[in-house]
Amino acid sequence: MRPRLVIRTIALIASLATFLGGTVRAQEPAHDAVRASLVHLSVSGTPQSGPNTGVDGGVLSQGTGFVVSSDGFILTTRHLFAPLEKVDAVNVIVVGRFADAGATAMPVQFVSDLPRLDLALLRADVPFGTAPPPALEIGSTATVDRGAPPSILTSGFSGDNYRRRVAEYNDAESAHVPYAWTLNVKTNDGQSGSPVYTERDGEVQVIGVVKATAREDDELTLMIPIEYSMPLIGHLRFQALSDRLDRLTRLIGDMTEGDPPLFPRIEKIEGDVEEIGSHFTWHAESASNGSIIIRYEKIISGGPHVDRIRVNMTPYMRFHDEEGDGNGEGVVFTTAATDLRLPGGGRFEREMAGPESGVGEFVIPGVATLLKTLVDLTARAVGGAEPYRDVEISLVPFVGDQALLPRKLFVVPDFEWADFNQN
Amino acid sequence: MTRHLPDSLAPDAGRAVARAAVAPRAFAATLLMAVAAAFAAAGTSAADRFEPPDLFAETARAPLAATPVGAQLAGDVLVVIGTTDEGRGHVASLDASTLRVRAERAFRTLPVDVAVDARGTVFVVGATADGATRVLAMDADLEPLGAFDIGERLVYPRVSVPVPGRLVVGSLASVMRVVDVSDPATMTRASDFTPPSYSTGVGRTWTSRDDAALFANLSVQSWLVAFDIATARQLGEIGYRLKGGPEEPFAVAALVEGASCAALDSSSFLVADARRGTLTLAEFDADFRSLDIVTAVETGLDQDPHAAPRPLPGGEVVRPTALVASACDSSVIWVGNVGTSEVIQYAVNDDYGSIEKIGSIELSERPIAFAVAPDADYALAVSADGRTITRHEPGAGERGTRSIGDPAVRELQRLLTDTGYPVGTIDGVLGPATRRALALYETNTGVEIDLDNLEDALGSIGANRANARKRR
Repeated sequence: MRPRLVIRTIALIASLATFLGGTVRAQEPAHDAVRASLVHLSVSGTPQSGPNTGVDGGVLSQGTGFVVSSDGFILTTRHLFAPLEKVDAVNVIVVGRFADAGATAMPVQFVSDLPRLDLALLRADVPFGTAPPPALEIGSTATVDRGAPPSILTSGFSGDNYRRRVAEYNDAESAHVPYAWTLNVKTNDGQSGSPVYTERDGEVQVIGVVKATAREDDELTLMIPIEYSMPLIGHLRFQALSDRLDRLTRLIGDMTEGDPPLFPRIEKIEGDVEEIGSHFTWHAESASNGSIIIRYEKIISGGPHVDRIRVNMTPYMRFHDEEGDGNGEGVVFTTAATDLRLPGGGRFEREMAGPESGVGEFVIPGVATLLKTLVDLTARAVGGAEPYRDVEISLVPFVGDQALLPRKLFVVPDFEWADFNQN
Repeated sequence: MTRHLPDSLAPDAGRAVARAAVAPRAFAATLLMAVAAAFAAAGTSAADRFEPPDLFAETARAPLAATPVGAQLAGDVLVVIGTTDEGRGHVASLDASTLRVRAERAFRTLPVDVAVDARGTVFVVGATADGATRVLAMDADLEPLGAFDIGERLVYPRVSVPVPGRLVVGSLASVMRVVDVSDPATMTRASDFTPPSYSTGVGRTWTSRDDAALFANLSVQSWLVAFDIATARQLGEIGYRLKGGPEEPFAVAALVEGASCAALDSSSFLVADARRGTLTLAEFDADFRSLDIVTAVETGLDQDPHAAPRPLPGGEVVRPTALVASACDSSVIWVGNVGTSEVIQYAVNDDYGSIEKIGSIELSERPIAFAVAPDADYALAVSADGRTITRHEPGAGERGTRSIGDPAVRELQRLLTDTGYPVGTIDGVLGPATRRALALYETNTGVEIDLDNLEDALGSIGANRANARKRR
């Protein structure tokens, strides 16, 4: 390729990048830019239990969500629905108002959720002819330089009031919610589900979702890293990336074998598409027979399945700090106990195939017995109904002989412990 | 987005060919079939191959010119930092075999910590007269090469060289300072390597062989954390948080590729926790990209209550009271604490990943630091009480107590632990913990173990052995 052509191509792509660069202008303060995509959410229903039984609208819940696609998908926290579930509400109505608590109400439908991660995907029924609000760009917590954290912003609705906050990065962990980050900022109830975002070079990127205020400290807010929402919004992101690639390809023509990479950005988009295209969503749960079931779902159907996995499990056990002194429980803390000695050296074949369903399942038998034994033989173990905080599962999936990237899952083992050995 | 791991699904045969070729010991009777098969496949004799170095005893002693505060073994040289009676900083380089002083130097900076890089450059961090934090670089003969002022007061600075040319200065501040030391004469602040930050501060750091993971020992909390360097994402952690009561950082012996353990191709950590009285063996698993706890034992070390951890005015304990040092192949591990002259010597049995007790040693003084030679030939203990350094070699003297135990019981303990029935320390003694584990094993499996005929019994546990460890 001649130098002149390279320069022209780069100029073209640079302007293209600006053109495709999203909806946010550099000169606008990030809070204002995001506001248009915020959704004031309110949910109401008719309780079937409790004091308001039978009263229409007898249970209400308010929260914040944000628009994640140009066709009206909204991400929020799932516990928005918790008050309604508590009273077995029926006739549930979800209403969304864009940008302002006083805006026109739009009906909103429930689409899908990830209960263990406290995330829910909703969709607004935007009237025909009305442009839905712009989608926020989904970023990644990996871009946050924790050595020199950028300023981290959030905004949402508390009741009918709009609240904007500047938060400070605290820690990529939290005491009670293993997967959440903590931010030094005070948030209120209704702000659950608000986007947490950073601004760099005028581009706003969502890095997380406000979950709640930390139990031990109300100046601390828990944030769910945005990566955890991929099972819900991955397909949207995939669609956006693939559209973008199509447009770029149309404009500059297909790359042929042997061409030097035209521009790293295109390479990156291709890489992203490939990664999400082969994306497997994993989760684990404890079964009543004492095994742990590890299941995956493919976001994009088709393609290969995972044939087997290698698994390692690290239980986080609760300990007394001191030997029981008769009356006191002593201080309780949690730390990793020795890794579980899994059968078969931790190698498991897929139990259930479903090439068309896009789902696969692995059964790790006897985990409850292993865990119960470990508690019984550990001095100072707290034991009881919740001897463990959770179990960290590290797994390497294999498709044929090829290892995919390792995954980490957490599962809270809720076995009936008494059933799993006679001591 | 995929990686090839050609060996990761290979069967475990051959895994047991450990790094150190130790002479097979003859008590073939206690052998279990599974292990026998693995060994046979690898062309190795099927005997109890575990024969770690004997319990150490003192063989030499020498006085120190200053009151020591820290020490670092690099090759056959021990670098000791301390404070002289005149209140000056002092560093001495001692020949580890003869304990003779090779070089020494006094300066105004009061040293707090020392690191030696792969080239033998000595980095001392300490406080200047006005309290600011300064790094001094010296060559192997302690000739000054340069000095670098951090420009602020760091509380309890800790130095490490996790990657060549980059000195990481940890402290109670959340962000670590990174100094470019590729030319120690012109040290500058480096920004190309950003270790993760922690609100309570990070102490020493290490990296994995492939430089993909960074390990950090937190400065206040009992926590060792593994990070992915490229994404700063946390890969794993060992530790706990106490609700109330002073926290105390871990003492960590890192067995990673570096100045002292150049030949290692894996990263493992021996973590001593004085607060709980435990020693934990953790390994970084490159396939899972996680920090795995292989095993943990209770040390039962008592410490003098007067030597309890001294908190800073803010209530933080920064200097771990636990002490731990290990040879690169973990065949000699010393665990102690600054409040007692007792040291317990352990060895890791690679075939099982078990921590086995070799015995207990009574030093003549309470140590403030110790070191074990990478090749396990000797250990050194530094004491502030008597300003002495002592050298110790295999062969127990009258100040040591060997754990003899019964080899068959040791094998039983290894098998139980490896099957998921941890007995605590493997010591060859059929104590209450072993009996409890055995009882639970019998209940869960329905297999009766005849203690009068242990050799047959071992075969049946061996057949049920759950998980051949993936160690090396």
